[in-house]
Amino acid sequence: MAAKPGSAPVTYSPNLGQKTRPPIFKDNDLDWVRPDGRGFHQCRPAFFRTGAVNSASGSAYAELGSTKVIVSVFGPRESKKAMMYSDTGRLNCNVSYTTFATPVRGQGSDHKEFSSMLLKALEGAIMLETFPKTTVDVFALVLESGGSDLPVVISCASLALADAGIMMYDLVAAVSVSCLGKNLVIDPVLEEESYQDGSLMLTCMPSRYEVTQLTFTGEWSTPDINEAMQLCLDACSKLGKVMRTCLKEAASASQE
Amino acid sequence: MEEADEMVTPGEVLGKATDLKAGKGAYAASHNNTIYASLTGFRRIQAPPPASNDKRPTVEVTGHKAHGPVPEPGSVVIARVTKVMARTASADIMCVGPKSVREKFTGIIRQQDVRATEIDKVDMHLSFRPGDIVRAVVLSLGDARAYYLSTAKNELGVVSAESSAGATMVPISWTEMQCPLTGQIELRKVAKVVN
Amino acid sequence: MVGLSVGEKHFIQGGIAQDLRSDGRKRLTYRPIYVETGVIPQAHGSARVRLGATDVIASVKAELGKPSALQPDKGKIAIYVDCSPTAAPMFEGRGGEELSTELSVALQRCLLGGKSGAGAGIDPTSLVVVEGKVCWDLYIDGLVISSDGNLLDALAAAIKAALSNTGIPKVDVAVETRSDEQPEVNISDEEFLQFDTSGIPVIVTLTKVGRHYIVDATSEEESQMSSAVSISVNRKGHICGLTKRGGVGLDPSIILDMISVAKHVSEQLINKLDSEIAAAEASEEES
Repeated sequence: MAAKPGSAPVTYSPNLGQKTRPPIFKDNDLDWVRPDGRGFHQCRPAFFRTGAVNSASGSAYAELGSTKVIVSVFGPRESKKAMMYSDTGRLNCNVSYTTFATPVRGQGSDHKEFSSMLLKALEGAIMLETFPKTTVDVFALVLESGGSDLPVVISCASLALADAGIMMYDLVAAVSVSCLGKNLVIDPVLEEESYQDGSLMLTCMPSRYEVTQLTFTGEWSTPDINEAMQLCLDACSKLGKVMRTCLKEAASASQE
Repeated sequence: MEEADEMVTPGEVLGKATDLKAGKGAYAASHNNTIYASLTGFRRIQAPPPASNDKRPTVEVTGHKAHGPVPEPGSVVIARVTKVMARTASADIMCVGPKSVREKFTGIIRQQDVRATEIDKVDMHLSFRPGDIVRAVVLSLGDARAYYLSTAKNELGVVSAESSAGATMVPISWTEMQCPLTGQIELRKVAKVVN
Repeated sequence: MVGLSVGEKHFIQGGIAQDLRSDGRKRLTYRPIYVETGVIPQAHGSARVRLGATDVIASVKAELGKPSALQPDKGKIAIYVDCSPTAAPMFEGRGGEELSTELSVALQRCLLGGKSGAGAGIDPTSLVVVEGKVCWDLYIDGLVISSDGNLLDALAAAIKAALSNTGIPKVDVAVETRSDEQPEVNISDEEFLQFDTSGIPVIVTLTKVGRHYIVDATSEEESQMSSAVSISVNRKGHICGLTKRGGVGLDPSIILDMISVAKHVSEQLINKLDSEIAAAEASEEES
């Protein structure tokens, strides 16, 4: 795994051999170096673990570089009284930041937006009709914001849902790409995000090869969109494999 | 006919809909006739029942934990009565089928759903008391607050109740239960326990 | 929510499949657009856009403020959308909040470009009066008066019209200030600066119903959608933002196809909108 830079601050993540992601493409543009020494089309090593919170129905912890996220899933349980009646199930998502997640204390923004984005990315993958009238609550907490927070939250939440035994059409993997000048860099860190010209986030169901959510900002030409989407889809399918390995390990560990 | 167990996760392809049927923990996507897993667990293949016309074996995903049970119309539940009013009784659902629930679900039994006959003459206070354990069937998802439950069958109704003296009472008819300590008879909608 | 019978649903879906929608349009035809500018005298710029029964107002207000320390060479632009209870009873109280946030975020994403400001419809550097000290803060407010589907496209069109209607007062800066002081400014009452609105993108929302997608869906049609993709396209044919609504997954190739269709549709929409805005400006000056 080449993504582990020698000079950059290393995470404490137990880097089990198969829990890392291989580079997607070879470096082809070396005139600019990323803050953590990765190649442009190289993702950070991903570490996932389910069962992070005992009291929840399901939970997962994810760590990509310095981005650390924990997601708990509760339910299905009775919907809150104020809500209207519905004969299918409902998903309720909430994303929050710890006060120490960002460089400036208590400065986590965009939570409402992130919550609704998380909901939209996940709801297409969940079989809502299997828990009629009830609500599944998904609570995500960003412990440390290190860039690409939302994609990490989304991938982690889909693992937590799988851990809770919620019926799903597929896992949801999410990856973002930043556009810096003419370069496309995948899985940007906080520093890169702060001066990006445009960004694209894609969430997809890797096995069904369907996009559940796609957003982009900044000015893009069609060939760039093609390239960025292809990059994301490829990365998502690889991320999906890492997530599956994690689920299988957790399941076989609980069997023993 | 059982195949070797193979661990699968949601979204993994289990087979083609032309050769297999989707069972528990699996679903068939109509657009590409493929069967996918929807849960984490072991892939098991069950031979088709000999009587059926469909000769495709059923593929299931079993083994790993599923989410807590959720009441659905038609499921038999065990509930504890919490409040008895003139027209309704509220109960907390404790079990759905054989499984205990992990979260709280509220149900209500309306006056007309207590028994099958003379439904207009039901007195709720002579049918249930708070604390009674009731077996009921889920009639519908009810309203935003509660599931609608019914005990209008012989085998449904109070299965366990305490007398005012604090002893577990013995059923003596389908409307009466007796306290073994004092001999006092209290009125309930008693379930006929079928063995 | 729109309550439709099974027959009505079939009628709408069948019509879309046959490229003849219930109001006689084809799949990729917009409803007629009506633009009025200068509808709010208190604002620096405003416009009202009607698209069938959908009726929205956008207003632009500018206030002098201080640029953020991180981006001293840029003014701030804020976009908010409010859904009035007059449009639908469910918008009352907090009911419209979810939709308002969704629309605001989508508009911000489509009009304001990336974090560095690249690809923004409005150039934030043009709002700076004195670098690091004084800039214009632009408040763009959208109001939904009546809703019959396709709110996002209508709001984007209204904002584009309102910005071309906007005149920002000219500011004279007193020269003799020391570097650590806030400079004194003098706001002119007579001279106004106009915005260059040619770069502001339009939003084209493609709503997928069954196997086909349509533009400018009415609320009846929206109730039948499986998913919708809003694509903002500028005059150069570049994509400036994209948001997806509806949870159902889409095949990546379909999304790419939708993008190319949106680009094609946007050309006509931009031209139509520009001529409408010009006509509205002309009639405002006459009156």
